[in-house]
Amino acid sequence: MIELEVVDLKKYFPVQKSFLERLLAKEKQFIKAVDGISFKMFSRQVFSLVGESGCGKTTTGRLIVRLEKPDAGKIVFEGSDITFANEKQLRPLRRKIQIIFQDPYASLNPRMRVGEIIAEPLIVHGIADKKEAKEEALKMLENVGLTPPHMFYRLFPHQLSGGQRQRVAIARAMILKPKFIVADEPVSMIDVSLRAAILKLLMKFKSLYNLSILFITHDLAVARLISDTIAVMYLGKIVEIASTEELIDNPLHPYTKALLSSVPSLIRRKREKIVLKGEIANPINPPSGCRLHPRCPYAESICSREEPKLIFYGNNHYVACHFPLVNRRY
Amino acid sequence: MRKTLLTIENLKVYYYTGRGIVRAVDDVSLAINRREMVGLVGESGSGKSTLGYAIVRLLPPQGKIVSGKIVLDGKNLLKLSSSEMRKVRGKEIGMVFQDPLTSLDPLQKVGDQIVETILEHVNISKKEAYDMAAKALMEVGLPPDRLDSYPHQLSGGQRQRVMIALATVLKPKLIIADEPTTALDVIVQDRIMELLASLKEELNTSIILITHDISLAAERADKIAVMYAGHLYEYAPSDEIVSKPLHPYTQGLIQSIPDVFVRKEIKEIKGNPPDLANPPSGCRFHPRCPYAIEKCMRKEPPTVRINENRYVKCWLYA
Repeated sequence: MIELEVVDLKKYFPVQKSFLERLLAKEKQFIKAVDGISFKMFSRQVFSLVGESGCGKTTTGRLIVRLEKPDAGKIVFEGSDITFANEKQLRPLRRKIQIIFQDPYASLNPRMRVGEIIAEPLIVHGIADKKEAKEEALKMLENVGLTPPHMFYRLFPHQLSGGQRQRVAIARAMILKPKFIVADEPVSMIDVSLRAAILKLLMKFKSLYNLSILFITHDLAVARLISDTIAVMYLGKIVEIASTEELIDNPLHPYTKALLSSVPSLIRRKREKIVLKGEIANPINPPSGCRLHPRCPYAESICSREEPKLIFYGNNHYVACHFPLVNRRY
Repeated sequence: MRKTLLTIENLKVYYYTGRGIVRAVDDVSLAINRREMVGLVGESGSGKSTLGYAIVRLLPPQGKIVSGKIVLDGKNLLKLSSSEMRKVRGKEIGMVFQDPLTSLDPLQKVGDQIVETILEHVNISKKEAYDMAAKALMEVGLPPDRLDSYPHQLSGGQRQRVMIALATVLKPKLIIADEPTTALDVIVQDRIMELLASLKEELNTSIILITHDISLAAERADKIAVMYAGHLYEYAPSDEIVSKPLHPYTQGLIQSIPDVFVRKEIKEIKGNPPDLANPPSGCRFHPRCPYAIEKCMRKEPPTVRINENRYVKCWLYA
């Protein structure tokens, strides 16, 4: 079953202009953070959006939970179009869709006790009274491994470690028994030795609540570990989507291949490298045609003229490239 | 010429804070050979950065080198006056930091900063220094016209290249790189690491790569030193650390990280890193160690020499 469908979604952010630029009536400029992306997510799946900083993966996540308003396109969640739903219409949805942020130091209210942070959504949504909410929060503390729960209930966020705080953030997101979670780099600020526990906790809730998870990460190794499907983004576009193993074993887009050949790995195997020239282009004026063309070793003239469409290549594999690396397949 | 470039013996670096004495580096010994890249690996609070900064004697005011020896090419750095030490920094030891934006002067052109460093150490004309700076930029893969750029006009990767040019322009014997690629995306990270590895060969220098990422160290470094809670727990060639980690902490670290090319289960290390103002008794890893026995709680384990290149600090091997 399709849980979420995104069609041609766009979000442009206006660039702040200086006073002088305004006087000179310079044309308004936009950062094309998300520039026409489409994908489908099946229920109970983990779908990872992978890309480097500035590719638009975080904005995509924020659009889906409607913390940002889309400029164009469609977001369909469980069959209903939520693209331009207003706050009132969004309310029941907020119970079903939750987000976990990267920075557990910034996402928790420092003046609230841990227990109150976890219980709050129940009260806000009128699901439980104060006493019931406390009971639920205590159960949830136990569930996320913050034991003894009565002790953790009374602590403030600053008394916890980064890993413990992220557990609190997860507890708060899960207390409403959501259907859909956006997890935005949930382990990138946590010490290496503790990351596995946080990822496992997410997977535990996934099977407990039959969750679907949109997992946003820059780390292909983490994406490989937990996702069913991976989509790779570059400069506001999705360049490739495939099931996890297929994408790793058989990347079709030169950008995906370049990413894969750069990820550090404990296996010191000699890898066939794709070297991209230069660095990511400016998202205000992205390159014409395929956005990777100025950096791509395989670019030909068509790549600067025509934007490649995301095309089906069989085996659950989609790629947006005029010259995909198909010859490697056979 | 001796094979060993840098020897650290029984080094102790403590921070004197309001919360008490923090034993950030506690009795660490380590030897680094010429032309060797050593990955100094650990999590936050392991003391890896403190060790790096102690070598160049650039500790924050609360930090003190309590005892020990740091010998670079026969010279005990801890015996040098601060003006002698200034001559060592830049000339004999180059430094690359995590965030080039905070370590480059934002108001000075890149070229002027490199020239200033050169003239501080070598007695040549300004013109010659500029030529040297231009050559250094080319060696790190930047066009020489970048000499006229200000740091903010460069991308993150380019700035880190400038930092590396600055660190290598005087052909130091040792480069200390503290998380040099942590602020960068993977594709740029890979190229910066490639650059460091090739400069190591060309300039015949040794590199200490301080990183939290054991995969990064495993790929590029010849040896890996694993730190935890102020102690050095294992030191071995990278291949051996990866294929046969001996210390339970190293084993745990390797089990806890996912790898893009391997299908594997990952396992966290139970518990949390200790508070160094109040570290656990005996082996500092014992509260998290699956093999801990009664002795581990009581007595600090000795550093055991497994072979010429391999050391581990653990009762399991004593």
